[in-house]
Order: sequence, then C-alpha cells, then structure tokens
Amino acid sequence: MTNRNSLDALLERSDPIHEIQPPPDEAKQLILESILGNEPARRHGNHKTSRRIKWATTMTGVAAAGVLAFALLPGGVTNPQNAAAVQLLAASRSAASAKVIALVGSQRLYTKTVETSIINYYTEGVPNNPAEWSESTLMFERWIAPDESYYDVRTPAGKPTFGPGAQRQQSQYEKDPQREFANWHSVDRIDPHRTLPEADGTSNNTTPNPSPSLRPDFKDAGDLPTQEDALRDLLKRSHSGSADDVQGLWTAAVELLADPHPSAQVRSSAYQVIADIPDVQLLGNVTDIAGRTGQAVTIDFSDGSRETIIFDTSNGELLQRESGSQNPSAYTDHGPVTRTTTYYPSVLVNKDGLRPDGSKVSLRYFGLVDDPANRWLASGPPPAK
Amino acid sequence: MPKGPPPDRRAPRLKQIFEDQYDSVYAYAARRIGPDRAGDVAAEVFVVAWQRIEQLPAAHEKPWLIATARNVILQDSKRHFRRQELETLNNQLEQPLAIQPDMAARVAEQERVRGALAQISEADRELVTLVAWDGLSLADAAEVLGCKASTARVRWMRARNRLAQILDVDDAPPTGPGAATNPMTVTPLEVVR
Repeated sequence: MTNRNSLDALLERSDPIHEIQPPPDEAKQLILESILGNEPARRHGNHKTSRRIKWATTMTGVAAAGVLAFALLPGGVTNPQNAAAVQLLAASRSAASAKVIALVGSQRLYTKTVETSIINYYTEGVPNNPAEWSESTLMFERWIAPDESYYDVRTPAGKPTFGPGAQRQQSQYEKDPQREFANWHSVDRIDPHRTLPEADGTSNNTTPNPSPSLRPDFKDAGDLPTQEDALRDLLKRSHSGSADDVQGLWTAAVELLADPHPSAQVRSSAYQVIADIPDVQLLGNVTDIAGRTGQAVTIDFSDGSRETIIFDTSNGELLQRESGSQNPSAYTDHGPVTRTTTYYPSVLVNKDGLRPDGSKVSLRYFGLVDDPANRWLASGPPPAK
Repeated sequence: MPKGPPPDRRAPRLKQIFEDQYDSVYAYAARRIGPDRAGDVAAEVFVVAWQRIEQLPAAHEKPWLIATARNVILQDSKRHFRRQELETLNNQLEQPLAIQPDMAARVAEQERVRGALAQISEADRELVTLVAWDGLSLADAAEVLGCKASTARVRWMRARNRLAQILDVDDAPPTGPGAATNPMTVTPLEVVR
C-alpha cells in the first residue's frame, strides 16, 4: 500500500480538481454535437486554425519520432544512458537521507575504511624484470586522521606489484612481506594557501597524495558545496589539469563518493553530478566482489579507458569501482590492464578502534585495535569472495 | 480536401475520444486557468482534434490532446487574459483555499503541498503535475512539454527530490497494487542485461 504521507499520496490529495466539478453530461453532449456539426474542411483554411494545425503536425511528428526512437532502442524501450541517470538519481535520493558522519567533540577520531583492490596490471621498474605481469589482491585499511593524514595499511595476497618509482614500497615489502604501509597528506585543493599540518606519525614515508582528487578532511567536509552546480564547479577545478574534462569530473566525483568525509547532501549531489555526465551507460544489476548487489554504470573516455562503478541505490553507498583500458594498443600479452576496488562501509572510531561512545564496531572488517608498540594497525582478514 | 478515413468513421472516433478524454482535458485546463475558462479551452482542443482526426495517434490520444490544450492556454493567455489571469497555476498555488471547518486539516495539507510546488521551477512543477495530477507517464509528459524523455526523467526525479525535502516526506515510488499507475513502473527502469 502507498504510504499515506508519501510524496505521491500528498500530491494526489492536493489535486485542485477535487474542488472542481466538470460540466454535466448534457452540456458535454452539446459541445460534441457542436464540434461534429462543423465540417473539418471548412476550418482548414482558417488562419487561426491553420497555425494550430501546423503546430499540431509538428508535435505529432516529434511525438512519432520519439516513439520510433524508443521502439528502436535495444531492449525495446529502455535507453541505457537514461536508465543510468535514473539509477544514479535514485542513489542520490538515498544518499541524501543517509546518516552523516560527524566529528564528536574534540575527541581525536579516525575514519577507518577498508578497500580491497584487485589489480591486474603491467608493471615496469622492477629491477631485472622490466616487464612483469602481476595479479594481486590488496586490502587497504585506510585511516584518515583529522589532520589530513592518510594512513594505509595494505595487506597483499598473492604477488605484490610495484609500479614505476615504487622503490619505497618494494623496500617495505622486502622488510615486511605481510604488509605495506603508506602515509600521505591531503593535497589541499580547497584552499591552496592553507598550511597543512605535519604528520604526527612516526613514518618516514610521507609522500604527496597520489590521487589528484579532492581529499576533504572533517573541516573541509563542512565547507563542500551541497548544490550540484557548485559541487560540479569545484570538482572541475580540482581536475583542471586533466586532459579530458569528462574523465576528470567523473574521477573527482567518484573519489568523493569513495571518501567517508562528505556529508549526505554532498554525496547526494555527487551522484547528481555523475548522472549529468553524458554517455554514462547502465550495465544493470550486478554483484560486487563482496557479494553485495548494486547497479553498475560505465563510461568510456577519450583515451580509451573505461570506468565502471557499482552503487547501492537503497543507501547511496559506492560499492566498487573498476577501471581499465579498452584500447587494444594498451593491452599487454596478458590482456587489458584493470583495477577493481571494492569499498566497505566507513565508521568513525577512536584510536582503539572503538566508536566514540566506547561501543565496539560490529562491522565485519572492523573492531581491530591498533598496535601502540609499532604505531601501525593490525590488519584484518581479507574479505570473503 | 485532405485525404483520410471517410466521415462516417471519423465521427465515431472523435465521439469515442471525446467521451474517453474530455474530462482529462477539462481537468488539465481547470487546474491551470480555473473552471470558468476550462470549458472553452476543452472545446477548442476537440475542435482541433476534429480537424486533425487523421493525425491523432491511435490509442495514444491523451498526450496529444493535453499538448494541444497547453498550446491553446498559452495562445489565449497571450491574447486575452489580463495580467492577473496570466498568473494561472502560480496564482492558484499561492492562494489559500476556501477553508471549511471540517476540512481544516486537509486544506492545511493542500496548502503545504501547493506551497512546496510553488517553490520549484515552473517547468519542473508542470512536469510533476502532469504526472501526478493528469496521470501521464513520463514519456507522455515529455511529449506534451516538447522535451526528450530522458530530460523529463532527470527533471522529474530532481523535482521530486526537492519536493520531498521541502515537505520532509518519503519520495519513494509507491509499491503494491497501485504501483502500476506510477510512472516509474509505466516507464521500465529494469536494467539492460
């Protein structure tokens, strides 16, 4: 049954026609007889009518063309691009009502997220092995501190990969094959003149944020625009150096969705930004690596790369992101270069991995405590496939 | 003399369309310019329909008739209506209803909803009311407004989102026995597999 207070019910009850009585049947009959009593051919030459006929002919032609276009589309009536926008806007609506992550008092809190990346890529730069194909699974535990420090604890499964210039990671791996660590500062794209705080960690591995996207912190989250147009402008600016504006906008919006800081309204608007990107196609109902069901949309960029995201329309959560090149010239002997990142829910925890109220985090991949002795956090189990 | 079906087939068809759709056309006009002028507009619409009976899409007449009514209203507004009368739906939406004591709660709700409608753009409001009040599917509403169905879909969902925020209600499409009348189900949203 329709919820009595749903929007549809309210609109239906507010219809002004409830207060208007249509003409009685006798009056309608007189109107009909009057119309039928006029010969259509006589009115055809009437100037006023002719203009309307011209307009009506045009409208009918447009309508017929529209109906024909719909009928010719794959699947009969559903345009994948339109359907993608519909699903994205459904996620936008759900995201708008999602719970907002907020900083509680002055307590030092972390946003702990878990991402699992399956990376199939062609690597260079590994000593004595300039061209190596690798398949690996990484589980990221990303702890984001209020001072804009990002801490990644990566647990590789399978052979780890080291991209160009990744000697640091390779060195780490040789020291501790079980885990990789990374620590970086946010690139401040909201206020380029703001002085970023120093990392408070003991790591010597501080590097610039490898992602060109926005990395808002708690404070930034409150300053992000909630209106679609303003957010789009900000996201465009954050990727102004991209060769492809569409690709830059897509990347910035998706990475904003993957970030745990933005408010519900910002996340909602981010989905609207994606919905308005041309040529986004709906792939349909799919299951991500973790077994969660969501809608998948995809886009091909001018450089031959393709990106796909999976999201849950019921709550606006971004579930998974896949990227890779569709250009055969970029293929290796092992096939296309692909990367799949699965996102798990984010929660606010304190340094002991507990919620601000002291309760234990019950989500599957949380509840771990960090190791005060060595500063870094214990890694959880890899997600079940 | 335009070619077409013989008159003895055209008249029964118009009669059938008139009987099926007159109330919808009248209601559309009445919602927008009030009952005083709605009868004239509806009659003019069916005059045009009679002139163009061969072009009326079979079993799909309602969007065509509503689009014609919309055009008649726009044309007549330019020519005849006084400034105050030009404030058609906007004016009606902003005017409080005549309150009867036993209808106070309902009227309050109607005023709240119409106030919310008045806060969205005229184009979005027309789209929402074509679907919610005139019972058109999104594709048919797009046809009436002369825009692409995809554009209408995006605008419609955005407008609903905005209305739901203003009214603080759930804007999820209805489910259950009545769901078939919802445009979200009339226009298939099932994924392409």
